[in-house]
Amino acid sequence: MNKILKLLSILSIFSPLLQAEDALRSSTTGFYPIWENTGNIEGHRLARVGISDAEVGIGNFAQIGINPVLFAYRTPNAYLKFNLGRTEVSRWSLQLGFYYVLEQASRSSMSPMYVSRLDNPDFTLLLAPTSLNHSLNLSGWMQIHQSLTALPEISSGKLDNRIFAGYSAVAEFLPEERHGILLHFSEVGFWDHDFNLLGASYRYRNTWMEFRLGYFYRVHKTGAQSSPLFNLTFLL
Amino acid sequence: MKQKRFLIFTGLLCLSILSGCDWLQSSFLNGIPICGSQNKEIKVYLAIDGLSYSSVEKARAQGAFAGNSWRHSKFITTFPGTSDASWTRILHTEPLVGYEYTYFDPSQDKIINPGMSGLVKHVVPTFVDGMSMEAPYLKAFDYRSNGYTHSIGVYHDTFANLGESYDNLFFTLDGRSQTNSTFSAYLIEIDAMGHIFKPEDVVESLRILDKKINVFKAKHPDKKFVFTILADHGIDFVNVESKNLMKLSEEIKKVGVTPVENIRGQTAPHYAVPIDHVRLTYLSLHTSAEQVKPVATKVSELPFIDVTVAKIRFPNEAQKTLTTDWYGIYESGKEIVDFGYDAQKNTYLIPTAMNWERFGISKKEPAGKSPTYSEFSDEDLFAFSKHSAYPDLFYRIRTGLSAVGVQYPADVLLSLKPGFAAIGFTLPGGSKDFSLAGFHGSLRDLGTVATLLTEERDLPDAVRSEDIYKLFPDFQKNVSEKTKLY
Repeated sequence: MNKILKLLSILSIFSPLLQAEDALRSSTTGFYPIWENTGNIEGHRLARVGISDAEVGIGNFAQIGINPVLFAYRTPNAYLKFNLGRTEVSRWSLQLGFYYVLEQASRSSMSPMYVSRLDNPDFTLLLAPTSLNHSLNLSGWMQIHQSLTALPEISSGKLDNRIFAGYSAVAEFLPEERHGILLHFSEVGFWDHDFNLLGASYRYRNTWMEFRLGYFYRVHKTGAQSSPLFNLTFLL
Repeated sequence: MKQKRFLIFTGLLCLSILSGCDWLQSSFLNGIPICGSQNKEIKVYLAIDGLSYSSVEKARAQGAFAGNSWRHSKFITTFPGTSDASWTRILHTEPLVGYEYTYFDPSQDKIINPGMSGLVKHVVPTFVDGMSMEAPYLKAFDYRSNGYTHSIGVYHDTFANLGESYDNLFFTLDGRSQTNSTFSAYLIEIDAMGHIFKPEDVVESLRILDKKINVFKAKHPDKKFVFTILADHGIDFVNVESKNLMKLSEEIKKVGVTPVENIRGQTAPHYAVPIDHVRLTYLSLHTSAEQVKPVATKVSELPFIDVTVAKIRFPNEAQKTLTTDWYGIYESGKEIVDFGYDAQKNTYLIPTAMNWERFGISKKEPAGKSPTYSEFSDEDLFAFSKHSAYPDLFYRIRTGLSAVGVQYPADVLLSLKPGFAAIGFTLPGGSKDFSLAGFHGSLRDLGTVATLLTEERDLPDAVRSEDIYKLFPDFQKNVSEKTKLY
């Protein structure tokens, strides 16, 4: 019966039927895909389902999840995230993941209004990001989330097989409140610099949902490209 | 009330989720560092809406696109010179239904997307590809938009939007050049600039583009980038006073033609369906076959009309023996030229008594076809007229009135005098004082002659826009990978 109620609450997404506790849950995934992450792990048997994350906590030491939209956009993916330790102010995690970018994935968007610099009509790309993540609670009003990522890329053609490194830092203001503001920075490539990511976002959360809206610039040596980013997640 | 609120909330939520999905996909793909080392030479084709020949000449005179690698030629575009129809014909993509979003459908006998419903389609973004309201030619390009609000930004803040488009364009090009040997992009801001701002603004934007191309090349010393720039029409940069914005449905009444919304069952002596969609220097009329000649003759009396043209569906017996396709050119209430076209031989029959000087064309006399008509090859007519005030006149009239690039061409086309334009629309509040700095659409040269600028090959002094693939087969290959060609 409990399971049925839980399923119903997923389907009737606006109804927080089974939220047992009032405490607000921390972000357990980064906002910007691949490069951003947090040191937080989803609690045991807690789950969230949204545009960019569907995940479940296992035994308070790991979480497993996928990016559902990318899954539907010809990019099967999954990740496993482990707790590496925690103190009162600091949390560490390690995430292993993969994205299998199938042929034509770059042309699978619903709208033609956005284009990507990757065009893969006739080759696949396997990405296997591995990231070491840290969340530091500086005070009750600010957290810093940092990630150091290694991104191996294996292409079935046209692209070189290489490993790229990246670092991201996100300052989250009012992390324990319903409304929060976040500032984002990433460096991708380091010694073989590719681009910097600069962004700002707003986050609202309550006991049963989390909403994020942000705007990001990808600053490259040949120009800066920008786009909004949006996520709506239901906490189960 | 509650139900309405719920529907609005649900609609906004669905739209947000839909947008969120594409934003996520775009962020993910554009966040992947990519490196490919196969292509050493990349051919880049930039389709710049409304880039006139004169603007490029001025930019080159100021040092832009300098050096021996750049060649520059007149690009003679089609009539009526409206962007959607012109790009469709240049790229040979899926034909449009009419020249613009607002058109007359003879099979339904009604105007489709009249008034604001047609106009608003210019700025509505496409959220789902299959439900697009945009012209199919846009699919031909690798890059064509910087986001959902692009088409609003083009008119709201043209300069900032162009800066964002340049940034996006080169960011995308950098990535695509890792895997592809050709790249095509579409930019619309220069067209808006020509309509709204000064010629110097366009020239300055070209100088910025040239600088960006040079910086981009310098940052990629391991690859060779070969650029080609083309456009769909020119801009005349002739200011039009708001009193000279003409409303066709009102004007044709003055010469005894009744404006109607459908053709079947009309009883007025002379009638036509006027199509007045955007602020350009051409207008179109649809009417019944027997009304074409009288309507064309009558509307040519209007003082703001330069030339009226029509496909004559009932030629006289003498003409019929020569060929079956006939066209008329009208001025000041008279037919001044009737010319025929022989599709099998691709030749034109022009009256021997034709006043060529009226159109600024100097010609060599070919062999006579009959006592009253001379036969000219298509190539000869192009050569005679390419630098005239009415470039490629006969080909452009013939194809403009035929089902080439559009399913339902007009029966009568009006080419307006410089200094006059179709009113097309009024802004909310009734203001007409917008987009009055430059125009295109007519048969005249300034709005017709666009630009072909390339580093790829030598060019003749003038090129018919629909022949672009003959000169640039790699461009055709690039386009045909994304959309079907016709």
